[in-house]
Amino acid sequence: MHTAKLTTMLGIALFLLSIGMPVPQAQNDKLVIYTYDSLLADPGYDFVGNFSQFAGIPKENIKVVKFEDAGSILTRAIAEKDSPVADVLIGIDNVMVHQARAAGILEAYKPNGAENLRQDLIESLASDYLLTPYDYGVFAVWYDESRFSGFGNNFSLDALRNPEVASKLVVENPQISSVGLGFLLWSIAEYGATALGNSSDTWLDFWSDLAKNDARLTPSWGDALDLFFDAKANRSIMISYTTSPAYGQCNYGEDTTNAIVSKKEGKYTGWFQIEGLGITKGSSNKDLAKKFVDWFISDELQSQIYGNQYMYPALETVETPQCYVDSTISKDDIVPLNSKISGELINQTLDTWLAEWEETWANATSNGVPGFSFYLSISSIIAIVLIARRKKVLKA
Amino acid sequence: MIMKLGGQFWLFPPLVFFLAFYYLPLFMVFEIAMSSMFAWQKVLASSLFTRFFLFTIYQAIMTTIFAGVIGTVAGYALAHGKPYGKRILSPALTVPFLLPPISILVGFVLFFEPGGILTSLFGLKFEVFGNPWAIILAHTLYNISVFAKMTESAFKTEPGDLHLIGEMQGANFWRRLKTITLPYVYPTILAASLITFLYAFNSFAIVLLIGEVKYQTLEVMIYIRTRLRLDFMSGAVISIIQLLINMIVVVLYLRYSRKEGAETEGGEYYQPIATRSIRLASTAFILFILILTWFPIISTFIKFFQSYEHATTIQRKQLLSGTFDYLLGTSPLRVIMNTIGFAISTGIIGISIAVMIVLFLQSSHSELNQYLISFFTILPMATSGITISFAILLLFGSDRNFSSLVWIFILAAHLLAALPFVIRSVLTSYGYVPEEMLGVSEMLGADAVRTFRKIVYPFIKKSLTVAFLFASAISVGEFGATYYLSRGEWITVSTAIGKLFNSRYTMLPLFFASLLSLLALSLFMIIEGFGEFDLKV
Repeated sequence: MHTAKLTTMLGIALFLLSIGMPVPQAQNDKLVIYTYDSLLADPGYDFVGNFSQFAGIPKENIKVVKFEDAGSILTRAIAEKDSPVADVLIGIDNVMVHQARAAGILEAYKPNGAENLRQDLIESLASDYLLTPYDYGVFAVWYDESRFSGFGNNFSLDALRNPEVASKLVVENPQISSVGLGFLLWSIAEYGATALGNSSDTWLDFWSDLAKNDARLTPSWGDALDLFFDAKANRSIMISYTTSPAYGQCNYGEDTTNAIVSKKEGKYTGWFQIEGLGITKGSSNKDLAKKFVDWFISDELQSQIYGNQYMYPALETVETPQCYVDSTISKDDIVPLNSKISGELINQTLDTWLAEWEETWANATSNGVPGFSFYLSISSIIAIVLIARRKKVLKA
Repeated sequence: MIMKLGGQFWLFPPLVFFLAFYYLPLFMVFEIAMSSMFAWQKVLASSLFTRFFLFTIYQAIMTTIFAGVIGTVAGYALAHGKPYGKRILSPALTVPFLLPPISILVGFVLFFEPGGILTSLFGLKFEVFGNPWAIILAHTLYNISVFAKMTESAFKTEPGDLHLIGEMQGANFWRRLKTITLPYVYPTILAASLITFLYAFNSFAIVLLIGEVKYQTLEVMIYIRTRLRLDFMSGAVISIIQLLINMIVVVLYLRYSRKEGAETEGGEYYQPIATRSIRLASTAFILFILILTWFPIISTFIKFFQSYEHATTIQRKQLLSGTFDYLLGTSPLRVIMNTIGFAISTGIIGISIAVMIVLFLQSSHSELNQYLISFFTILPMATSGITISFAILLLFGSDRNFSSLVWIFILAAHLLAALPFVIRSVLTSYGYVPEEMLGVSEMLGADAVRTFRKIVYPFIKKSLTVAFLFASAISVGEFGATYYLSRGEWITVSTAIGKLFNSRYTMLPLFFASLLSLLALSLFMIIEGFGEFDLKV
């Protein structure tokens, strides 16, 4: 009888537990989308609501999981490779596509309307449509002119090494952030690396200087943006896109920021990012996922890219707003640096570059942390104390 | 059915739990680490590993030294300095230890950030991000209370007769301190040092959020390798190295914590006379330590109320509305519900497992069984939250339902963090149950449950309640495992603060940090109501 009572008590405990924990819903009736948190977020376009109307399905049947940055989307999708949760991944770019391809997490799909997209983007991202481009941009050094005087007429990444400049700079962590990764490759393309046939890895010296001179590192572009706008933090320079100044210009009619790329002898060079979306291998909602990709490159969504994503739409027919023309370096004037590093090389060397970057960033400063001698001294002190104690005990 | 199976049945659920969520997953980590010598070579030859391994030890040693010196003096002042308002000061000193590290960190950054209290009041500047001393300082503030509380208990039970003899022979205060007091409290100081070292050595949240990649503990290294770079082999090797060091520390800790207070039985305790000036000095010192350790909590509250006061009605409404859902991955209300749900579940299941173990021990009558259970259930204490999560991911991660059932794994990780405390606390109380009474009950034909209800339960009732509350407190503050495993909809208040840490939306993380501190404070006050709070395992 008492056993029954105890069992009842345990039953009650389990019941309490069950009401405390919402029951997970079966996911295969929903379209699950993985993306980053700043996608079409400012001022904001409800792509879920609009797609639900387009597809004639309830909004509740679309589940969007937002990550800090594209790097997290990719690692999560790779970790779930054997039991994919997501149907669609949005935000994998022209660097990460090589990792995604090697991991075999995506399934090629040529969407309806692909012929209207810029064909060079398709070629550069994935000519087999493993990913479909939806927007693109050029990484740039973005600064607030009201808090920082600027870089003059010519600009190279060398300018960021200056301690005064670096101490105002925010860079994104290339291990997590696609913007950080793009900036890493920009630096490799600009400075050179042994893997590119150069005699030394001078790009590492650049990063070492940034770390030594107090550049801040954030996990994502969104975090960097928050620091950039926080006046108290005094970080008025960040790595963003050439299109970033268009935000103020388009929304408020004026902008106090400027974004620059490398400029030498009147010629601009920069690292282009092409963002794409793709369908996961093993997706349980393939038809709906295809419909979503089709819709994402349609005029309905692509016309929202300029105003909510502050990137260039992949659909060629969308007209560039005047506020972009007034506030940004024309993308057509920028020579892509991407051709310096082939996709194959990225695929082979990226892990090594990231490991080297981490080592350089970490080893750049010691900040009072001692070397081996400290541990030797501490061990000696402990040994002396222990020996002295033992002698005392033996004496007693 | 249960009756027929006898007392052995009760061991089955805890055994399944530990096997499924701890030993088997951990075996996977070993398997991966041992599958290739290349991974060991790669890790051990890496200058980055050397750097971070040494840094992990360095910051843990420095934390132990700083917290040890300040905390031991505070413990002495509490035990012998008779500070004014001791009844409030003593428990107040314990609170920071119960606060989740992430709450401490929020207050810490508020104090030191540009335009923060330090700059506004004193015009001083102290860079928190990428500064190893900031990490050490944050860890120190968190651990002072461990030393203060543990040594206070030890100082209080110093044998009075030795001091009397010493005084009669003309030994002054310093000589008695050296020859009587310090040797007596030595095992306690050592035990407190080891536990502080263990906490700092396995620190995750603080180092991840302010270390900026430049400074990593092994815990952060495992996270970066396994979660961000999917380099499971290197992660497994580092996990094994960390686990081995943790096990050495835990074994030493258990050894020295058993030696504490062994010589005090019978005699009178040392109670020196505290003059007015000594009492004033003790009070001032304790107050200073309290200001130091409480400033993160107070700063958080003040800053939250300030920002709430200056916020517009819309901004206030945004707090619990859907405005921040895109940042959190779920609604703030759901985040709070998750936290409470996990805390209550950890408490309930934690004490259920402890009760089952007691029911088993009742019928086994074997000291060896008790020893083995103590040993195998305390091992998770030597395993960090990140290693446990990594191990769980290795074993269950490829299952199709892993993502939808991830809450079970988060709960399991919370339980593994809480169970060493819960089981040890309950087994200690169980040790006070007279064996004769158990024998008589058995002779009279009472079954295990009846014996438990009538004889054992009254003895362990209090410790069960305290264990429930303490397990809930651990769950509320848990960061590493939840951060590692959780998907958007299962994040807790601690991990939500971590997500919003670098964000410019300060009101919500401040609200969460204040809420977390309030929760921890409430749990602490309830625990204190049941008697003196013990920080030991």
